[in-house]
Amino acid sequence: MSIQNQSDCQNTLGTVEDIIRAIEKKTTDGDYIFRGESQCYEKVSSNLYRELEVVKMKYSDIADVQAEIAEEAKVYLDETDEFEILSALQHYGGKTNLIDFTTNYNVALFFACYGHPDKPGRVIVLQKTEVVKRMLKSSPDSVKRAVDQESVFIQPHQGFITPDDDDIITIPKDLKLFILEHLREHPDREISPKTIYNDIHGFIRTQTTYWMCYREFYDGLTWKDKGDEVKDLEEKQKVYKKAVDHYTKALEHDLQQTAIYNNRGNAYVAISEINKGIEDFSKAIELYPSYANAYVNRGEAYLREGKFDKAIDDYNIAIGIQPGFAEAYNNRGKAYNENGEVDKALIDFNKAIKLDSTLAEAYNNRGNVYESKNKFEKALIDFNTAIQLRTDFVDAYINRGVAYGKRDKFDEAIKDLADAINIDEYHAGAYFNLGNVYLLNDNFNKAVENYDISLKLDPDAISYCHRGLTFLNLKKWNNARDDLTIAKNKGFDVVSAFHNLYRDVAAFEQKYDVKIPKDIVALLTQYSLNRYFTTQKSVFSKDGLHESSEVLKLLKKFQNMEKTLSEYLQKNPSRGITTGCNKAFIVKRPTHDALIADHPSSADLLKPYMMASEINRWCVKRQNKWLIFTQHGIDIDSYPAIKKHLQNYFDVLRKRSGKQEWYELQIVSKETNWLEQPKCFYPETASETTFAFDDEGYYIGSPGYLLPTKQLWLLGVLNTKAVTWLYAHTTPQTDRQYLKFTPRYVAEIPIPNMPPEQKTLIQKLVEYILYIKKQLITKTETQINNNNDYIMLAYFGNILDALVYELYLPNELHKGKKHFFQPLLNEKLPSIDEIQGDRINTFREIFEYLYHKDHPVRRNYFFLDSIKEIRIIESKI
Amino acid sequence: MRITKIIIKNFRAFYGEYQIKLSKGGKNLLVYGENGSGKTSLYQALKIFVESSEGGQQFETYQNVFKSDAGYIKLHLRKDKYSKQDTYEWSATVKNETNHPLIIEASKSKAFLDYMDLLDTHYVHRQEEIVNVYELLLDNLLVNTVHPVTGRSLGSEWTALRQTPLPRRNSIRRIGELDNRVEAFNNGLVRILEDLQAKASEILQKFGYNVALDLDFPGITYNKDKKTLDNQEILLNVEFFDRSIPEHHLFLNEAKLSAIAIAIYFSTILLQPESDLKIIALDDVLIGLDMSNRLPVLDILEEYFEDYQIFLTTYDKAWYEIVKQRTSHGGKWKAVEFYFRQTDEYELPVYMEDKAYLDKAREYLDANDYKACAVYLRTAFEIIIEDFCEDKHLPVKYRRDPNKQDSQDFWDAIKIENQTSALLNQDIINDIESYRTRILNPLSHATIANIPKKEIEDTVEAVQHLKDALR
Repeated sequence: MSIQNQSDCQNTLGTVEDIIRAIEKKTTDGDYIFRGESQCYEKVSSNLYRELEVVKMKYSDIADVQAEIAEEAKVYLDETDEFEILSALQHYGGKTNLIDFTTNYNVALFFACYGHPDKPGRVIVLQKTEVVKRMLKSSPDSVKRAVDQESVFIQPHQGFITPDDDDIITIPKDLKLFILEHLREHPDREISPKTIYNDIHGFIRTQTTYWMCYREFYDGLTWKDKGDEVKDLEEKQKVYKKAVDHYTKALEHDLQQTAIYNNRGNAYVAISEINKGIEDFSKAIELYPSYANAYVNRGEAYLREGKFDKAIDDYNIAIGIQPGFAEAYNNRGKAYNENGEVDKALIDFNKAIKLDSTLAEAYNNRGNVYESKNKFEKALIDFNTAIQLRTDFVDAYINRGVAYGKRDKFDEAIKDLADAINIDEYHAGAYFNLGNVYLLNDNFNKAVENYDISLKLDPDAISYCHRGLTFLNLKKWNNARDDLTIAKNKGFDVVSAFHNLYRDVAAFEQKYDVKIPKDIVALLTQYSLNRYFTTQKSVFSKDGLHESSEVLKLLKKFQNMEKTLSEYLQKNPSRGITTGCNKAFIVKRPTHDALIADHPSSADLLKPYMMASEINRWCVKRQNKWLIFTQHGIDIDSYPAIKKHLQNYFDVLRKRSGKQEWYELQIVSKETNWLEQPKCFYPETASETTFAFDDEGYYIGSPGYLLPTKQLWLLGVLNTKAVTWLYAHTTPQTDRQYLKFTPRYVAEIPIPNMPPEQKTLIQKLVEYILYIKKQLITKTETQINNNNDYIMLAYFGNILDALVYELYLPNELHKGKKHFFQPLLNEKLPSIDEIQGDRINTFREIFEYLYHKDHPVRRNYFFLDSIKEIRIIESKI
Repeated sequence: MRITKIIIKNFRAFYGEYQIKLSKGGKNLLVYGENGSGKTSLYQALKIFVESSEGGQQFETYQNVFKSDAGYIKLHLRKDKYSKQDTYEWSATVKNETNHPLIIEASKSKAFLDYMDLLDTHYVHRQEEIVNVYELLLDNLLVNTVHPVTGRSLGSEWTALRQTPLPRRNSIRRIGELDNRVEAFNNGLVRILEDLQAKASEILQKFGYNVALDLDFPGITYNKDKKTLDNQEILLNVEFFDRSIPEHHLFLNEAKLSAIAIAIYFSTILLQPESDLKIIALDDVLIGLDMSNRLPVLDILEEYFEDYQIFLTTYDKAWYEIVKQRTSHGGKWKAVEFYFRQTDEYELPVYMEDKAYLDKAREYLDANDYKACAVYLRTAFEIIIEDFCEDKHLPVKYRRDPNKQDSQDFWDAIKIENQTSALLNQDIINDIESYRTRILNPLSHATIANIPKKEIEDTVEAVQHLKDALR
């Protein structure tokens, strides 16, 4: 007896499906019988032949030897028929010239895989030709095991047969356990040691070298199955843990097996020990690098860790190994989708469906993509198909329910979510979404019931938040306060969630006719910009601004932010002055002059004044208006002309609300010391960040704000597209065309970190811009060329935009070879004070130089929107 | 960065897959093509490919109507002949490869002009000697030019401005906003025109016109009473260096306006930063010019667009031959021809580079597409006899119009030659002549479906014999 060299036995059948397909392909026409061998011998021989070969007896004698054996055995058996005797011998492991075959290839596969885990096995496929039929002996029905094994015998005249190479299908050693796993789950009948060796003699025959290992492996499978069935989450964890333990024991039997690592990896992932799972999959891959499933499993584990790139790499390998692997496409699509690459995801889901039109997951996933693109009809078709294919597909019910819910189809939504709960009563997400539907449908008690269950199953922040918001409707303030506080402490963005659902407190109060206690209002509105950069689970709401996944991904990329604006300034913006009666307090040139002529003391109280609507980006336009600045506590009698003027309006002034005297301004911010100094202004609403520098001592009216700073580089950072976009997308806004610059949020604008030379560069450019803009709006310099100077101003603004992009998104810009700081620093631009003589002409020269089509700054700016992130920000997608 | 290969499958006129190789260095391409032969489809393929990142284009719209299997456009690109080749695809399924920064940037600096664009020069508004080119520029020549203030194309800026709901006269805030936009638009356009008129005048010199262009744009204004955008005027003035001004309305005939339009278009490209991948494609553009004005264009391309990869297409065979001659030195150009074949069911362009027509005929025969097989057989037959006549300098009947040259003329010439040299035995001649009427004939394609496969197979063999005998 000799065993073939292992390499001869290798073949290219890489998966369980390949093997089965190969067998099925061979047996499409006619009758076949099969034999499985767990290692590859040279010949397919009877055990008697192998025995005789050792002592070198000639095969021609084999029939005689067998007849003698039968004769001898007769003594022990109540049987006279020679074949019956031989069958019995064969059954108990005696030596005969019979070779076991089976009519069921799955049984043969079992024998090929059970045993010799370190060697390849094989399945011999024999067509029932005339020659074969002559050797064929059907097994007697008397033995149950023979029946279960669908056993037949071949009695070869020479003691062996030599099948063609074509008739032998080799099983790689690494696939053996996978095939055993597959056979165990065979839909027609379970094929496992339990069903194949179903009596004591059979049991004894299972006791091969590694039978303990096999037993642990099978136990692992059994526990994993149980885990899949158990619904209770705690119990589930325990059961999976047992599966892990059995696999671990299986591995202790000094047998490095791909399947065991792979399966233990899956069990680890099921108990959320992702890193251990990844280690196991890696080990499985190391042992059997062409096993595509292990890559898919590892990819999924990476995906759960949020490591998209690694996941996609693994899926790519799996697809490379097995181009028709529908699940791999489906999973890669999932990875793309989570990574915001929706179109790629769609391609993959389409491909997966094309490869396997019964893959319910792929339909469900594609439905989600359509839903995210707001293609409800298409999404619905896919969810329906997914549910048709798998009537217990919980996620598909939930997704369909959520989609209905978003479109106010509450009945359908409730039915779907209730169905989901019927299938899996432990699914927290189903209760959570059902709660959402009831919340939107103003059925608050039901909503709370569902959130309660959801929280019991999975105490996550978003459920607390939503339950808290529901309690607001029920006026259960204490409950609301508790829930919202928990959600907030868990880092959940309660403010946005509230805003998405109800816009603002006033709208909520009006709609439900309630008054929310002040401390809860604080929970609902106090917002911290850069600290809530983390994205939220999508909250479905009727309206409000929703971020696409692309935007959310981009927000994550903004980096290099050192401090917030208020941390830089150590102060907050302060509100402009409210007079309570503009026609009394704001005077034009003639009144101004008359008041001073009347009494010189008037000049002390008359201050240059600017209304919020008159603020431009960069600088203020000279106004011919004055404010009568009568602060609280003023001695009005020292200013008789002013007093006389205000007295004309006495009746109106007296009726203003507030505690001020009739001649005093209604509201003046405490920061009055900044009013006469150089500082910045901004209006409350504008389509873009509109910060203006003022060094002429203007007083600002409400709704304008004063930003107490004279650092021009800060102005340069703020007045850019990057900050406008960032502000619009991280603060609650109802309309992105008209942004509201609430001081609380302005204070939280994140300011990027940069070295001093970069600050200086920005400062210089802001000085240029301020100078040019001033010339343009006042047109004091007669030689100002409107067209070109306008372009020059815009171009310097563009350069600032580019520089600030580079500060926030350095990696993205540099990857696209777009540099701005370096080429500009190389130019050593003069500061405004260094420019001798005609400044505007010097600026023009600098502009034309930097605007030349071959200058790197112009070129890089011209092509800046080839960078995807910039196209998103500038809405060019 | 250069295009080294263009692969097009089932896109517009292209039936099946076509490959145009431009060698590792990425040669310029000169294309002759009959109408319907795929010449314009090639131009379109390049244009749509480069523009596809801007969105709005669906490959399905351009799918060849006779072929149902999904097509694609693929470009092979190389930085230079020593660097690695990258492939970019655009098709119904692969849409995002053309979102690569390289292609997006190429789209911003591309130059694609076809004869339709120049037709507009015939419709410019004239008021006596004043020519208003506002529409010609804003709807056409400057559409892709980038506005210096907003960074968007003038085309999209102008469209957006036109589509803005115009505010009522009492809506002060919205009028203020619109005025700001109009001001930004005007200022940017003025700057572009200033730069343009200098450059375009310089280019016009190459046409032999010693003139200076003046593009006068007073700026559009919002008329809040009538709710219109007024003053859509760019007045084209031509200043002669050596003549007095009043005659210029005589000067501005359509041919000269075409030359001016080309000069302006070229200037827009030259005034902007250049992308890595620089493509200039002119589809039949020069047809509108007098022959005397066509050659200068070649000079201009050579002088100003040396770094660009140039694609010139024409249906004018004589002009094609001239350009082919002019560009035959230096190895920077490749010239190819497309011919048009029609069957009763579909149209099939035949690309005359790929010499393996017989192989193609066999391929189609195997695929049971007899019509396509017959098209390639006929082409193979024609090329074999034409090449032979050319090599042996056989006298062929002369026809004034080269398009009327018939394959019969070549076949007759070969038969006369055969009387003395006996290259072909009578069997081959008989075979060819019998199949000629039934299969190797442009009029036969309608009936080809009724011909048994065997007979087509025999024809393939007969043409093969002919080819072997004449080799």
